Amino acid sequence: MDHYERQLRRALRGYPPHDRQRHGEEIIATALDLRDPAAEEPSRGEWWALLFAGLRARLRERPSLLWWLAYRSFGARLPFRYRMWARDEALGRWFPLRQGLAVIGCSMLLLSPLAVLVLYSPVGSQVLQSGDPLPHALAELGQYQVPIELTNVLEALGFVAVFFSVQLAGAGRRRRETLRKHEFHPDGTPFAWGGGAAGPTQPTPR
Amino acid sequence: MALREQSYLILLALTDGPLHGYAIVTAVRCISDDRVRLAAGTLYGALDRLGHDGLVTVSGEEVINGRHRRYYQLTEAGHGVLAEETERLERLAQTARARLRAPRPQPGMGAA
Repeated sequence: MDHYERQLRRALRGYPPHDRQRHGEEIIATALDLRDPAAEEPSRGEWWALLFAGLRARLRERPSLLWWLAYRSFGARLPFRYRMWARDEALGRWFPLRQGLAVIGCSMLLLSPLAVLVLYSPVGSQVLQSGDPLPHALAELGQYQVPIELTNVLEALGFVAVFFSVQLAGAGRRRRETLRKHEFHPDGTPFAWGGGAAGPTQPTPR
Repeated sequence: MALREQSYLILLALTDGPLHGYAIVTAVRCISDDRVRLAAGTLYGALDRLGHDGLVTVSGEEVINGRHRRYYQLTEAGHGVLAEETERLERLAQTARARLRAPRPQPGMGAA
């Protein structure tokens, strides 16, 4: 593989993984056929056109914000048009990390109203030494500084480590579940190859 | 359904029958008198959109000299859209010709 092909393959990273698996070699082959024999690397225009074609494909397949939140928060099954995104997401290297961060984000989102309630509760008021309205209470809370100690930091790090270890341990099961929910086998091949508009007629061996 | 010039030329190239990527680029260059030279990214971006709209489909694939080839062909819908767009361009060309044949207004001969 020479510098020209390496550059092409770099631009190809703009495509979603499933597109790279299905069309990547074909795109590279065509680009190499079109290569000017004297050229040592693809022209800037060609390189960007390839990258943007991939990014457009990525953008088109991304679920809308509401579907994304439903998927992340509750593991909802995405509509058919987004299933390839779900497939790539589940097979992605950082799937356990994304899942873990989603759990933390959702927990914070759900627990934040509880924090407000605590501030208004008798206990909260006593701690803040006031029954003041919320903005004042929050201002006081901001002034209250928790002394940072090494043991606290270690405890926090320990919690994070345990949390992500649990995530990692359950990642395989969740991955299979996500794939099954979107009608894919554990290796990412669909249950049935419908041969969509520009899809392959046969599964491509991987 | 108005088509971009590149998409129109790709559909036109596929009227010959199923073609692979490189053959499409060559045919487009030939049809456009060497004016339109598609890069791989542009070609597959356009094929992807056309496929998404149901105008082209994959008819087969093979590996030649270690290079992967996938053949694309026009669908019925693609054929219809191509015919429609050709008629639209024809009407446009007729209008343009008629306007060009009309005598040009001379300077100073407009409404007084």
